[in-house]
Amino acid sequence: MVEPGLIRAAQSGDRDALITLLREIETHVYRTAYYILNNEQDAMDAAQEALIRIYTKIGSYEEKAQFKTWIQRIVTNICIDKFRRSKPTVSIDEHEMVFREKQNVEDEVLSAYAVQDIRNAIDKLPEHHRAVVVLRYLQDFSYNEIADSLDLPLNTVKSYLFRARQQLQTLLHDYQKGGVRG
Amino acid sequence: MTCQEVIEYMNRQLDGDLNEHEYEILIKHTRHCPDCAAMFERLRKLSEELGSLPHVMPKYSLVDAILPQLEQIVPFRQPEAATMELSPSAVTGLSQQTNRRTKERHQLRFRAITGIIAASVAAGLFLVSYNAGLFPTSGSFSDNNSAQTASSDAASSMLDTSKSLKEVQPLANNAGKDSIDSFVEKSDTSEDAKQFYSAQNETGGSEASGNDAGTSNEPASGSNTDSGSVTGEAPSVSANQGGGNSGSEPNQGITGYVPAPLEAASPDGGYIAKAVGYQIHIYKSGEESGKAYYDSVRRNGKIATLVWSADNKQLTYEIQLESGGMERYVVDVKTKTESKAAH
Repeated sequence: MVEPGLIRAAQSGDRDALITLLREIETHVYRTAYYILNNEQDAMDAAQEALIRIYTKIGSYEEKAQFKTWIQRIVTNICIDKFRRSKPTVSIDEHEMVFREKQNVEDEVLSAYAVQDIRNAIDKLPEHHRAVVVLRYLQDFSYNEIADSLDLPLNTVKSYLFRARQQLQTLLHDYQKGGVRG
Repeated sequence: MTCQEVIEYMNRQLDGDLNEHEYEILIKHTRHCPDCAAMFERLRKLSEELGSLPHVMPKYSLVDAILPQLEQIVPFRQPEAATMELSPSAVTGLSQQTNRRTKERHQLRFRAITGIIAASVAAGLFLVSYNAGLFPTSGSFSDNNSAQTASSDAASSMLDTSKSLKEVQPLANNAGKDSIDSFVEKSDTSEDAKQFYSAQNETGGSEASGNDAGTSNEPASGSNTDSGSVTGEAPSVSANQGGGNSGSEPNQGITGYVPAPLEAASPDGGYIAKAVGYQIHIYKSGEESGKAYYDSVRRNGKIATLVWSADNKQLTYEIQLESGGMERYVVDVKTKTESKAAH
C-alpha cells in the first residue's frame, strides 16, 4: 500500500516524503485504533500518537519486515498499552449478563447483526483477541501478517482468532435470542 | 473426527486455509451433524458481517492535526531520546517535551558561541603573553596540555602570518576549535559521549536552571576579560572544563564542548559550515550569527565529519547511522544542492 521508494526517501531524511507517507497510512492507523478502542476520541488520540511515533522512528524500520505490519504493530501496541486499564473485558462466561441489558434494538432485522452490536461484542474480547480480529477483518491480514504485527506465534494467532469468532458468535447469537424474547 | 476438530476446519475455511481434501471432510461432517452445520452457518454469517464492517475514516486529517508538533520533533532521533518519547504519555505531554527540546537547542547554540569566545580569548591571551616573552613561566596553562598545544600552535601560525591582532583573531579562533575538535572526536567514538548526552538531556528537564546557571557563568567570565582586565584566569577556566571531563563533573565538561565540535571553514575562509543536530548550516563568513546561506537536509544520523574541497566549492559530510553504518553526502555550495556520495 505504500511504495518502497517513498519509504526509503522518508528514511533518508526527506521530510516531505515522510509527511506524504503519514498521510497515506493515517486511515489504516485510525481504523485499527477505532475498532480496538471502540471509541472515536480515543481512536483519534491513539492514531495521532502512532503517527508521531512512526515519524520519529521511521529510521529504525528495516525492510526485512513488511511496512504495513510494522505500522500496525506500532498502533496496536499503543492501543493495548495506553488504554489497557480503561477497558475492562469480560470473560466468555459472563457474556449473557452483558447483553441482557440491551433491549433497544428489537426491531433490528434478525438475519443481520447490527454494526453497533458487533462493535460492542468485539469490545468484550480480551485485548489480543480483539487485535487479531481487527487485523484479520479491517486490514485483511493473513495469519502470518497478524503474527508479525502482534509478535505472536502463528498457532497463537490462529487459536486467538478461532476463539474470538466463537465468542463473538455466541455473544451475538444469544443477543438475537434475547431480542426475540424481549 | 470430533466436532471440536471440525470447528477448527470451519475457521480455517473462513480464512481460505483449507485444501480440497480438508474441505470435503468438513462438508461430509456437517451433512450428518446438524449442530455443526448450524455452527458453520453462524460462523460464516459472523465472518461476513465482520468483513463488511464500515471502513471508518477520521473526521479530519490526523496528519494536519499533528503537523505543528511534527515541526518541533527531529525525526530519526538517537535510541535513548526515542525511548524517552515513547513512554506512554498523552499527546499533550509530547508537545511539552518538544518545547523543552527547542529550548535546549537554543541553549546549546548559546553555549557553542560562548565556548568559542572563551577558546579564542584563551588563544588570544596566550599570544599576548607569548609576545611579551612570558611563555616559559606562564603558570596558568600548566594544568592542561591540550590547551597549551593548541595555543602554541595558534601562536606560531599567527606569528608566521601577521602580528596585527585584528587578523590574528580568526586564526586564534580556529586553533581553539581544533583542540575542541580533537577532544570531541575522541569522546564520540566511545559510548561515554552518548551517556553524557543522555545525562544532559535528562538534567535538561528536571534541573535545567541549575545546570544552565553553571555553564553560562563560565563563558560570561571569559567575555568579561575580553572587554577589560586581561588576566590569566579566562584560559584556565576553559582549560579546566576540558580536563575536568574525566573528573567529577562530566556534565559541565560536556556542556561546554558538545555544541562546538563540528565546524569547518572553507579553505579560502569564505564559508563556515556548522553541524547542529542532524543538520548542517553553511554561513557566509562574517554572517555566522545571521541567517544561514544554506541549510542541509536533515539526516538520519549524527553528523560525523565535515570536509571542504580544496576549491571551496563542495562540502562533504559523513553521518553516523543508528544502524552503525556511515553515509556520505556532498553539498554543492554554489548551486545549494546536495547528493549522496559514493563510498
